[in-house]
Amino acid sequence: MPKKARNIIIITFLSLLIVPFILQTDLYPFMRFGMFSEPIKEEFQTERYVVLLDKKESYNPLLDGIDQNVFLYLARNHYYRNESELFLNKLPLELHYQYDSASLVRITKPLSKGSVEDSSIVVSIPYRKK
Amino acid sequence: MKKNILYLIAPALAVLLMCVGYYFIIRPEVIAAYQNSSSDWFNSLIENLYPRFHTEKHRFPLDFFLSKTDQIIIRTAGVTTLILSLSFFYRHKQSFQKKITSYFDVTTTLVNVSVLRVILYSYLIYTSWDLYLEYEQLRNMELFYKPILLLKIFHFGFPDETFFLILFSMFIVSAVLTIFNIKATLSSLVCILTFLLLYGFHMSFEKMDHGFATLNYCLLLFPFMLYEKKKTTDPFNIQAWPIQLIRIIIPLCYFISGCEKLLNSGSWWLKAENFRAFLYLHDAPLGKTVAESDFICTILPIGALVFQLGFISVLFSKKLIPYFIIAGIIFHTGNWLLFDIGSYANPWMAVYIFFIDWNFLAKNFIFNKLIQFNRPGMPAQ
Repeated sequence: MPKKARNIIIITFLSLLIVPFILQTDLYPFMRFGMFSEPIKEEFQTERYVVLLDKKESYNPLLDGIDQNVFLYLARNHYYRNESELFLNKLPLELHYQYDSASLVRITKPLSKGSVEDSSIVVSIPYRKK
Repeated sequence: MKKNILYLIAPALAVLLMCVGYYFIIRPEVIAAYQNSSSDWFNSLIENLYPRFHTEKHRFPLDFFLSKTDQIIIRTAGVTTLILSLSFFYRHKQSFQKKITSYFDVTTTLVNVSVLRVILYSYLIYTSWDLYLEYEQLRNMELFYKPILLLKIFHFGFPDETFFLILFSMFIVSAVLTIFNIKATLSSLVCILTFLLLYGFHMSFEKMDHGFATLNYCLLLFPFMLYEKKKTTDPFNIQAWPIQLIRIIIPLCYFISGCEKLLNSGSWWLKAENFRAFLYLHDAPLGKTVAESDFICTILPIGALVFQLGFISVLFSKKLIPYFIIAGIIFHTGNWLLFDIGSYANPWMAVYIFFIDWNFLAKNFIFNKLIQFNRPGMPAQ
């Protein structure tokens, strides 16, 4: 390969490595490397999200082939965007379950030692037919 | 001389202009975006470049985003200074220029390229064979589909099953053809393009997996290596600049990861409390046990940062490569066990194959009796 073309490719690839670093964002397939770099203070808390059907049975996303981590990520993102109802409506709940109502429950726990979990119902929706 | 001064002043002026533009245009827009009143052009910029802002703005205060945007300027200034200094040395220091040129002018052998090709693409098939099997779950999540920028640019909606199957078949066939060296350059190109599309669909559900970050660079660069091999008739003198570039990019990825920690958290990242908090957040059984120990929570983050910032030293001393490969395996296995991140077959570890001298291994341990390697003038690699 001519040296000029080679050098252009080298510079392009090095730039593609640096741009996500400067912008602090992923430019797929070129990723940022800032994961786990934010400081975490004591006041942080863990968050879990569960979908309860008729306030007793817990929805298992794996039954619909939805990865648990992706489920939690989507639930959390929708919660912070005030779109929890939309989130419940988008889930394919009726594929494997019969229920009267579905509720999204947010369970939090402070990181400090000896702390206990706290839970609250974010939103509930009635059963829907597809 | 005038040209040299202009060469230095022009980028400096550009950075200065950028700072002014940032202070008077971008910073007020960030504040406005936080208060839901930014301009349309800025909203669309956020939508494309920083989509997680819509979630994070409910979790973090305005200062968090201002410091992030301030960092864009700081980082740009830092990187520009570094690039200017390097190019200045490159132009004026012959020894430096010689070092850079000779670094990329290295040659390699057919054995080295072939072993890398077979391992790299076999690993890719092994780690991605379920990309098609997961289509069913993607379809169940179709309503959550938010295409990443690359798919948006090419106007890819949610794929139907036939299209996905065709794409996956092309991916597998091209990877197999590459392994067997059949039209290897073209096959490897088709392989990486189809892989990026398939993987892109998986990344279009608001969660970005960074596991393939380094592997993507290797897969994008390896077709150039196969092209160089195709263009050469001498199996002992194949231009190895793509491998040399990969050997720069991988340490840089670690170095940037380390820099991010220092830039975002400063010395706080090294504190035991911070590390313990990460362990509790990820909730892995072994992580929770380790979190009980002050000593381990103190030394592990220091070790991790030394490893990430230090990996770049392999560029200056080849002797350090085995130590950093071992440290890397411990580092990623530790992430898997303590934080439940990645797996034993982590792509970050798979790319270490580029630091191994396969020719040497083959010559001394594997094919010694099968292949005659001791050719006069054979390159060291």
